[in-house]
Amino acid sequence: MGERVKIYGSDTCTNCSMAKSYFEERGIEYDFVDVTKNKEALSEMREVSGGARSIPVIVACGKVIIGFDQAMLGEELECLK
Amino acid sequence: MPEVIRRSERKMTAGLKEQDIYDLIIIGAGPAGMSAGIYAARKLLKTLLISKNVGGQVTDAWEIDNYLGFSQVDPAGLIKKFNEHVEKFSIEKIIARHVASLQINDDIKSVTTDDGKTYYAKTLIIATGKRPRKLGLPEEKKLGGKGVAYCATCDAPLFAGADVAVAGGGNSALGAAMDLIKIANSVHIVSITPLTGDPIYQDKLRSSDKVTIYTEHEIVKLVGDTVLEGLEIRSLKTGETKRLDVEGLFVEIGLLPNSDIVKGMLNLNQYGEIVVDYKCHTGFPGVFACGDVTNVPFKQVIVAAGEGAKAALAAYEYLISGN
Repeated sequence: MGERVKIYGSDTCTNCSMAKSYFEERGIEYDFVDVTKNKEALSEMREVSGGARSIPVIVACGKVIIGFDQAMLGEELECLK
Repeated sequence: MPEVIRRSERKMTAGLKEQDIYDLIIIGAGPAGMSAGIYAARKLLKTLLISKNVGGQVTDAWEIDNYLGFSQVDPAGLIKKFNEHVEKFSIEKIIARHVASLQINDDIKSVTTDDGKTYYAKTLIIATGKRPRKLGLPEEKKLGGKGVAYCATCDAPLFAGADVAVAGGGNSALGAAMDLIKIANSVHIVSITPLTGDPIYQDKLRSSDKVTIYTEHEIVKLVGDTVLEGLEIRSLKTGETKRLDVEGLFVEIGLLPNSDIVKGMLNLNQYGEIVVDYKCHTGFPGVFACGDVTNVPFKQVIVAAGEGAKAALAAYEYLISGN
């Protein structure tokens, strides 16, 4: 497994909650940061994602995934299998 | 629980064994599909649920306060409860897979997923819901998530202090604009028609210093290499174009039914919705549809859940009677 999963999101975003559940159900630990309450985290999210302004942004396996798409996560995050 | 009596005269696809065939395959795991799954399981139908995600359009909602039994519930919590309910029954699930093709002509229908696997069933329920309509501009995909957004409830808070635009003139668009005036520096509303959203929204937006409204204008270009930097809009009356320097564009121009997989097979209305009767029949034997992908009016979570129940009971009725 690569680096720890990081989720940039907000506490009120449904797709962010879905993303957290996705990893919890698989027993994968992650760090979560609410970018609507933390300007530095928002800047960091935009930097690592090439300017994303949509949440969640998920960083894992050396990849950055914008949005929650379960099919895409399964295909892209090989290192977590 | 009544016993399921299967049609003995049903034509079998060559080489298939009875144990390879489901009584029912449900496509879609939003409120309609999950409700159908529960009702099918309670009738002891051998059921497979295939979906690219769980929750459907509920995942784009901010808060739900009109679902019976829940005066206020966050959408993720409601989806979790739906999912837990489905898990109590023996329903096979394939999640995170797209359906690539269907075959519905024979008594035994087949569903092929994007990994090339094919599943067989005596009945199908299409519960694929809707998706946001896009502008159809060439730069839209590249700038999606990088200034171009389709979910104001999710992404509006990321545009604090920014100049933004909203595409559309209906309630969804005006609702997004209402959210945005609380946090953005300025909000441009661009609609190809006069505003059609509720007058109370219109009054509030027209009285805001932050809002500029361009009706009978279309967005003709999105500007920006890596992130959205602006829009080009054109007046439908004069043809005059204008550049708006914005960092965000919220596209709220309606929803499209996810009916592409049955195009040319089932009867669709002018909006692309699957036409069903009061029992969710599509007119094609053994094929049912429910939820927002159908022509049933009032796109609500509770309506979709009810229609899902009806579709499963109709599929059961078909299996035991052949009608």
